[in-house]
Amino acid sequence: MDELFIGVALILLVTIFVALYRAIIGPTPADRIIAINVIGTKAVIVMVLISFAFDQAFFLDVGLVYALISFLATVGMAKYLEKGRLD
Amino acid sequence: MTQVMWLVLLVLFWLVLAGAWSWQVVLAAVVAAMLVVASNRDSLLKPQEIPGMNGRGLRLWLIYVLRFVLELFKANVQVAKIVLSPRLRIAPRVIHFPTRIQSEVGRVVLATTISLTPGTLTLHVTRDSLWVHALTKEAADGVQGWIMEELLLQIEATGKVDGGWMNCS
Amino acid sequence: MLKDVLVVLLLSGGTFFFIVGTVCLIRLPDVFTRIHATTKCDTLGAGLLLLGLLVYQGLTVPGAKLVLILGFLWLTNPTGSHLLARAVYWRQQVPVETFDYTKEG
Repeated sequence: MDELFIGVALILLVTIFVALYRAIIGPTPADRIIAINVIGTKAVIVMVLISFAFDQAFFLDVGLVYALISFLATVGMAKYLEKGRLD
Repeated sequence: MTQVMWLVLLVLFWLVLAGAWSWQVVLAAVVAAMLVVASNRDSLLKPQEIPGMNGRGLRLWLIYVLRFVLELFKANVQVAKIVLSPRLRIAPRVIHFPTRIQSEVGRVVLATTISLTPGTLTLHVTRDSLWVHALTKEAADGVQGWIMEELLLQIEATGKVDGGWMNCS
Repeated sequence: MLKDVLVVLLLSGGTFFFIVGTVCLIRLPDVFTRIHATTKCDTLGAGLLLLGLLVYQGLTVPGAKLVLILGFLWLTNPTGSHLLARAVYWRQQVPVETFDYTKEG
C-alpha cells in the first residue's frame, strides 16, 4: 500500500506543477489565486498521503492547519481583489 | 445554552487534535475553549437558527445529504465529459433568480449546493435572490425551481425558524 | 482483500478527478469557468482520496483527523470559490439574465 500512496502523491505533485504554470501565466490576478487555492488543496492531500506512507501521524496535524491557513489566504486575497484594501 | 454547546464542541475538538487524555490536556482544552467562546460571544451560531431541528426535519436533512452526494458525482462526471471532449461545448452565462428560503443557514446551504453541483456557481446572495454563473444553458435552466431548493423549503416548513438575515454586503 | 480493492478504487477515482481539475485549469477559457471546474473537481477528488485513506485506516484517532480535514475542505473550498467569484463579478460587469420562475408558476 505504501507504494500506492507514494505513487498518488507523485501524480499530485506533477499536477501541482501544472497548476503552478497557470499561476505564473495568469492572465488575471483571479486566475493566479484559483491556481494557488488548488495547489493548497493538493498540498494538504499530499501531506496526508506522506503521513500514511511513512507512518508519521503528526503530518496529519500539519495538513489540518495548512487547510485552514490556505483558506484564510484565499479569503484575504479575494477580499483585497473585491475592495482594493484589507481593513 | 448556546455558549455551553460551543464550549463542549471546542473541548472535544481540542481533545481529538491532541490525541491524549491527561488532566493537563483537558484543563488546557477548557481554558482555550472558554477564551474562544468569550471572545466570539456575539457571532456564535445558535441551534435555533438551523432549520429542521426535529424528527421530521432531521430525516429530510439525511435525504438532502444523500441526494447532495449523488448530485456531486453527477456534476463531476459532467464537468469531466465537457473538459475531456476535444471541442469545448460551453456557453457561460450569469442568471439572477429569486428564492423563497427564509433562514440564513438554509440560504448558505443552498448556495454551497449550487456551487458544487452541475455546471453552476453562486456569485452573490442577497435577502431574497441569488446570482448564479452557469456553464451551459441546460444548467442555467435546471437551477430554477430545483429539487434541492424544494427539499430545503420542506425542511424549513417542519418548524419555526428563528434566524434573521445578518448584514452581508 | 475487499478492503484493498475499495481503497485502490477510491484512491484512483480521487486522482482522476484531481487530474480532470488540473486539465480544466489549463483548458477552460475564462476565470469563471476555471473557478467552476476547480471547485467541483477538487472537492470530490479530495473527498474520494480522504475516504479511501479512511477505509484503509479504520476508526482511530488519525481516522478522526482525516474526517476533520475532509470536513474543513468541503466547507472551505466552495466558500473560497464563492468569495473569489463574487470578487471577480464585482470587478467586471457581466450581462445578467433575470428569471422569475415564482411568477410563471
